[in-house]
Amino acid sequence: MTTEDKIHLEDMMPALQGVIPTIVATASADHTPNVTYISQVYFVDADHVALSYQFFNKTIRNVRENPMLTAIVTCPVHYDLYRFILRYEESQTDGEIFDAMEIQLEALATAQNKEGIFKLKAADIYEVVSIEKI
Amino acid sequence: MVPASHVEFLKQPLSFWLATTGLNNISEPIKCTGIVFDPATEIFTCFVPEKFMTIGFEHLRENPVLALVVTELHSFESYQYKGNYLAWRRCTEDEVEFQRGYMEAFSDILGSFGHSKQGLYGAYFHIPVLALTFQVTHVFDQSPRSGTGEKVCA
Repeated sequence: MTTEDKIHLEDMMPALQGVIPTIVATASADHTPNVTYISQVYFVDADHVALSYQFFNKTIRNVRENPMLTAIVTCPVHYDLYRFILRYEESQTDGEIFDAMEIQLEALATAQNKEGIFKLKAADIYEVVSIEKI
Repeated sequence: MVPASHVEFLKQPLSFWLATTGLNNISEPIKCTGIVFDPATEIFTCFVPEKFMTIGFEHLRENPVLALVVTELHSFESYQYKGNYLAWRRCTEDEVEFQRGYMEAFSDILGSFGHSKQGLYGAYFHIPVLALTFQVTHVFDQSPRSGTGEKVCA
């Protein structure tokens, strides 16, 4: 990939609004895969995103053992699919990013009549290792 | 192992995604364009466009473990099946037609959420399509609620 071909996170903003849920895959330390939907991939800065976690589940346990996560993000404008390779850095349960994600999540919940299951428990911060169009 | 109630559930136009993992511990989510579950053998046949399987095949050569998540998009009822990869082959014409029917019904559901039916159909469905089989070893309830992730059967 040339520098000109590199996909920048800033160019992905339409896909980061939670319009189409993102699918993420992780692996435990013994290489067992896990795959699930998440509600939000939130733009933090040019090199980082935050993923929403409503439940402390297998995905959370996996990234504590093995920080690599792959997300398939769908652009709701052109319906292109993108593979994000991410590396877990930290989990935030308050602060500016958490508050902004909580507001966005409440809006998504209201739109889908799913208020009860969209409670944000953590904003997990990931470094963006690569983005590739599939 | 797979509860009897799942057999009918799995015949619906659900969302299906596979995942594989290489020895580098980076996983790959893979979009399925339909599945068939045989309750007698507890083997899943998963249909996957060949263009989505490049990394998945690299992983399966190193590590035969697969995960399949199935999700009903209105209720979010969801289950995850883990198991061991068995084989792959090209889909038959009948299987391709089966997938076209599944994709029509699945795209209708996505359209009911305000998405472009044709847009998502075009994003997910590509010829040629492969049929991968795997033997179930574990089943997990993955519906979004407190306590999710509970093992259903192993």
